[in-house]
Amino acid sequence: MNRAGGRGATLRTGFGILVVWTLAALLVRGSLSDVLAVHGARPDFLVMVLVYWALVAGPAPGTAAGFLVGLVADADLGRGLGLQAGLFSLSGYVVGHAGQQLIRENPFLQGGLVGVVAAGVGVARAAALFSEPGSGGWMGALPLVLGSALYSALLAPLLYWLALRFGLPDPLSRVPAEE
Amino acid sequence: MATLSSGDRREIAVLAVCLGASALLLAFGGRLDTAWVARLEAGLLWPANQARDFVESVSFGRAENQRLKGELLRLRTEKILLQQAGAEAERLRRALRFAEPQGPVLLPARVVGVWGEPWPLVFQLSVGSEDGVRAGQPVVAPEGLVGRVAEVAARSARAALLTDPALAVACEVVPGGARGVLRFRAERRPGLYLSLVPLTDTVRVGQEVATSGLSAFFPQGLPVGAVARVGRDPNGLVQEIEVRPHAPLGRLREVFVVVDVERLAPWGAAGADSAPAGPRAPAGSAMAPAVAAPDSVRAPGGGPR
Repeated sequence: MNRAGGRGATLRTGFGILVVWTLAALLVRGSLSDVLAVHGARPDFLVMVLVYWALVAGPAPGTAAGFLVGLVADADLGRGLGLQAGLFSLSGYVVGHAGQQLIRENPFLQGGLVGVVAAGVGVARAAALFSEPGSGGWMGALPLVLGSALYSALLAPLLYWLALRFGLPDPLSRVPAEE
Repeated sequence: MATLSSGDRREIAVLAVCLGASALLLAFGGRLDTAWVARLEAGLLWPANQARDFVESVSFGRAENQRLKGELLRLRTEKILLQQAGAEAERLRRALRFAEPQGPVLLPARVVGVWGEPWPLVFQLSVGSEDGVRAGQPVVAPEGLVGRVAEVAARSARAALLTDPALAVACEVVPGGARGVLRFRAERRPGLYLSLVPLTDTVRVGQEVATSGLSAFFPQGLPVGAVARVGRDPNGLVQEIEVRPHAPLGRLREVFVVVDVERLAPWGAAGADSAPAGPRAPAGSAMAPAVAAPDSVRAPGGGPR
């Protein structure tokens, strides 16, 4: 009983953190995207949120969080729901497992996971955008998508390190991933 | 065969449920209203935008003031010249019995959110149906065309930008009149391309591109960009012209929605009759079509400014 209650409280706290992180990501993306753009490449803050939260919480909560964050991303784009929700769910599951198998405190692992997920989601998003008749192919957008993924991969560990430097609690060391 | 633990089964079940729900939404979720999410985000972004505007106004206000003073002097001079030219055009129009031109009326709007990765695709605007905004209306910046209103709520709207591959605009090269369809494409180099231009039309780098008025949504003469490169379509039958947009789509904070003159007439002090008589856009601005008189430009959320 106590164990179940403690677990529920941990999950509630975790989802609270997720909501705060997602709101912060939307805030930064919506109001500072032009400032942060480098040669057209822009960091994917929602992917950063998902990767770090899945590393913290593990596969099952990571999958559920991916679904919710993906729905927000789908609603933003206004092209129907489902595509990014599915991609983010899958990403949350994979990253959650990676967090259990690998050293999740390693900034190279964090950056690598953010880069891979951002690239995968970006490619699928670009393919979906250009899927309508007459809109042509999307391979030319690949450098921009990969550049944005690389940008996200470099920025994410830096933001994490900065957050720790400013005294924010380290979720990767304090909240254990699911066994 | 290895057996799955209860934890593994739970994880796979969650994944299956999420993927199944995603697939269902993808198949049948097209009719769901998602505009409230964007409205919620716009509301959340409002304080941040206000803070940013305040910082920018303090930081750049002085330099902007100096620049605007110089601009004001230049515009006063141009106004006199344009008034003379307008009077002459009016005399000639009457002599030839041409119809009065109907200039677009511009509704100012703030960009409260920019969505889309890795390039901006959608603007969330601070005006909505209560301000006279309707789906399909063009969205412009002082530099040129930005996009089109895609979805409208009571007090907000969502504009698809020129970078949206689904948005096609009928355009022409000025001067010359070579017509084609402008669309964002990314086969080789991502950018705006004017396609379906016949090989017999001569187009040069640096020429202006404006809306041709042949599409249902965009009136004629809205500036879009300049020709950056002229090439051939892969099949070699028509030209493919790369266009560099005038409007800095990633950095815009204020835009205008082009609202019909007829729609504004009952509300504004200046209706359809007075709009064409309003001041023209300055020659230095890319907004070549007639801009509505200041009293016919409505303030968002209220009556005439």
